[in-house]
Amino acid sequence: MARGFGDVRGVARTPKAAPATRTANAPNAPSAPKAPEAPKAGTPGNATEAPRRLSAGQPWGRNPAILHLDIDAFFASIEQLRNPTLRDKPVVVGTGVVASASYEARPYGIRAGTSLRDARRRCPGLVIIAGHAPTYQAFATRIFELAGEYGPDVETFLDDAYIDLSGTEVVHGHLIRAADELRRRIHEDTGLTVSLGLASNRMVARMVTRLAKPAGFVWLRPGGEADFVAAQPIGHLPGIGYKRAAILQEMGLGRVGDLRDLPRAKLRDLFGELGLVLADRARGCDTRPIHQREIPRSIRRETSFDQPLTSRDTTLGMLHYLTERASGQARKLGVVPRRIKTHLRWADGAADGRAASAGGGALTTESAFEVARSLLTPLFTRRMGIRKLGVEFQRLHPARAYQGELFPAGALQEPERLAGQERLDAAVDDIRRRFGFQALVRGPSLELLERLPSDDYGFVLRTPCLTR
Amino acid sequence: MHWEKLNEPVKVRADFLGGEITPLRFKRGPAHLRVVRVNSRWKDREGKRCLCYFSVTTDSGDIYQLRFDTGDLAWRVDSVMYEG
Repeated sequence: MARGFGDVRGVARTPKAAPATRTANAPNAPSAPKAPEAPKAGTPGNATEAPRRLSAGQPWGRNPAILHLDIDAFFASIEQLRNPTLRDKPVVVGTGVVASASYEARPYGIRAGTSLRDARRRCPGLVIIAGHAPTYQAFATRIFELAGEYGPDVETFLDDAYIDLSGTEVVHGHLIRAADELRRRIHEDTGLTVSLGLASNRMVARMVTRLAKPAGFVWLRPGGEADFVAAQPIGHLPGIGYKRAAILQEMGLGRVGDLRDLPRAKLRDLFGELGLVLADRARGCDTRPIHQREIPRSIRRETSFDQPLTSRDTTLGMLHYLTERASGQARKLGVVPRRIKTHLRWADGAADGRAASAGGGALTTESAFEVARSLLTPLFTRRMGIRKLGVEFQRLHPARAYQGELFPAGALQEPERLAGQERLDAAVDDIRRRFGFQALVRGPSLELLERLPSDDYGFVLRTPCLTR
Repeated sequence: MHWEKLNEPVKVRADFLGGEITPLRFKRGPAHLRVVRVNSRWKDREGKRCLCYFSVTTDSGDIYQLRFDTGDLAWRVDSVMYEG
């Protein structure tokens, strides 16, 4: 049964929820201090409004049901929760560029990716916060835990997730009611609002979520995907960014539906193999399954500096620290990189980087650092400070699939030494798991001890990886 | 506006009713601060330890972040919000 755009059901597509404000007095204790206002509670804001037109819903049947969940203005919302004086004010989180902008900042044209200089110019009263990645991670983990109670497969990203609800009507009853319950529970538990889109495939679910923002829930019944997608602006189709949208708009194609009239061969000529994918997407087709990503595409750790780094020792210390963080994460995930990249940005804004094979051997902190250092040394070609430094592990593979080198390339890959380094890394990881990362500082990272503040999570960097 | 890291041990009077922890008062130096509002709460893990964080507004109008470590049952003032 084909249904058009008009069949998109909107539920509670209203502005962001009001802050929770329930007051509770301490019970039966005259001398007890007055209990503070409850944190998460409370007033069911718009995010917890009962869904409209629920009775119009029909069972989803045997059709796939994919729920897309997007946390509204993620980092900025958390900062507004932590500090109530920021509520209703334009707030951005980021250093250098905006990583997250509150809804109050968006009317000024401030979005993720806007430079802070530009953001300040657009909105003089803007509140800028550097951000704290571990806090955001804790909130995301809790939200995705709740999402995991509703579907067996949850594919998570930084601030959004896909949940496969196919066939779960048997467990949850009406899917729309279940999704709305999830939205309400997330708000009650964390104080954050999320936007939800429910459709028969992940691409359409994501497009539908756009209509639900902020703090709303919109669903599209099976059968209406092609007509819904056709009516959307061409830039809203996943896979079409600013540049591709500009090319297509120059050709007079403003809506996704216009793409359908183009021959597939023409699309392939324009965009290569992606053109064929876009041809399917323009018809509302997306067969990608939902699955928990076991292996990320890459592990990247980088930071910038208030004052450009000029000391070679401090630069190497920072590179060692970043490499240690990346290799610790790789061991935690059980992966090894086939390629390591070191990159930097000079004080004048010029960027440079080099990548090389990780050696094919097992990953230890020291072996990874040796590769990263060997890549950094040739980059010291200018008499200028370094504004930004980073290391990236690429082409990740499961560590269990690793086959040792028959002829070790260097001393670091000698079996006895390698085994010793692996035992050392395991012991260090264990100590840090129990007592915090900063319980041990190793090797060249010692150089940073008197230069940077630290907490349980490690050194406090100017720009920790908020977006990774 | 930024959070200044303190990480100081602190004595906190808290309510553990209903399995939910709610800080009520704490003493920082000579000052006794009453929590007038818990702005937000979240949990994090550091190894085996579960760390419960609370962003609270005190009667002095300041905003603090308190941390309760379920491993050693210790409270700390994690950070304080400063203007500027």
